[in-house]
Amino acid sequence: MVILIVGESKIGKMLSEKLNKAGHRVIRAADAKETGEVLEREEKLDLFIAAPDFFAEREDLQADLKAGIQDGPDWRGAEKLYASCVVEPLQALQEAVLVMERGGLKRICFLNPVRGSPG
Amino acid sequence: MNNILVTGADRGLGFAFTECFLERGYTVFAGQFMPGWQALQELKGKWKERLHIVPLDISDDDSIEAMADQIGRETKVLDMVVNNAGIMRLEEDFLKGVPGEEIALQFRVNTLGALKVTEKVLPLMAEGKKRLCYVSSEAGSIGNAHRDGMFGYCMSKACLNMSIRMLHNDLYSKGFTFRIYHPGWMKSYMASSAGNVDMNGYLDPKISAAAAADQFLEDRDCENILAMQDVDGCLWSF
Repeated sequence: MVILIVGESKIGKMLSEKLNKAGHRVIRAADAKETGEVLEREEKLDLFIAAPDFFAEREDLQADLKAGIQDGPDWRGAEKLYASCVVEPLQALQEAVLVMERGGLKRICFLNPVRGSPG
Repeated sequence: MNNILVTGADRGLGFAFTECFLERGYTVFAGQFMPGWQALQELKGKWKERLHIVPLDISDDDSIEAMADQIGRETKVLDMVVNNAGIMRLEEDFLKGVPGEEIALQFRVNTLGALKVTEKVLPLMAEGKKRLCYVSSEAGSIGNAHRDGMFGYCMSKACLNMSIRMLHNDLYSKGFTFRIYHPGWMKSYMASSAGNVDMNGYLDPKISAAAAADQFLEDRDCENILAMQDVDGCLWSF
């Protein structure tokens, strides 16, 4: 299978190593722009995995995610995370969809922490 | 209960809220985004004492800060906030491109704007009725999601709903109560790309505002339960 993992989270790296060891061809891209670039060279894509850095491990994404409304929340950090972890994977998927149409599996996966569950 | 802040009060649902609360005898602080739009000024002529027009752009931190300062100078107690201001951008098909800037803007206004307003007015609400009201939408409901487009708007309202849940988790034990309102598709400027009133809507903003005002003003036996309600009082999954 040809697998694309988008995002620079630790779990994305671990997943990439595991899938590589399992014999799949894993392509990695940091963001939507890179997704477009790496997929230019691919004939097909079976599996798209978004693995964004929800826990703000990247230096440029660091944000205070714990402050309550009366503690002065880090709104700028929230905005950066939204752009990087929500919008960017969607844009990457949009880049990937046409190549996925030529793949066999056509499976789309998003890694998402349980803290995002409304239920 | 006396003092109410309404954001996005220039026209449409926000203006209808403002008019409705004034007619019911409340003092209204009306967040004005469009100073060139005359309706609020005309209303001020009728309600000189109880209508306070406050400049407010909820996408601008300084504007929110100035709004809270102005209200703090004019009253010691704010009882209720109606977070109504919002935007909606119509989008093309997903495959034609995901407009990152537009999606980010709707998040900044519809989600973070309402949160930042809430943050800044909380100190003014300490001695008041402590009611926080949010105009959301069924478009933000994950349980009822049926659209395959309008990512930015739907995502921003889903984030708003999640934020309200988190605020409720934090503030209910401190005496705050919450309302979430799905206003329905209105004859308003919101859904129109041409800058005109969208006449395809099935609801007059006045009717939607009046129904919401009843829900916002009445107390409930079960304030510990968060619920999104529509103009008929029907419950929506959010």
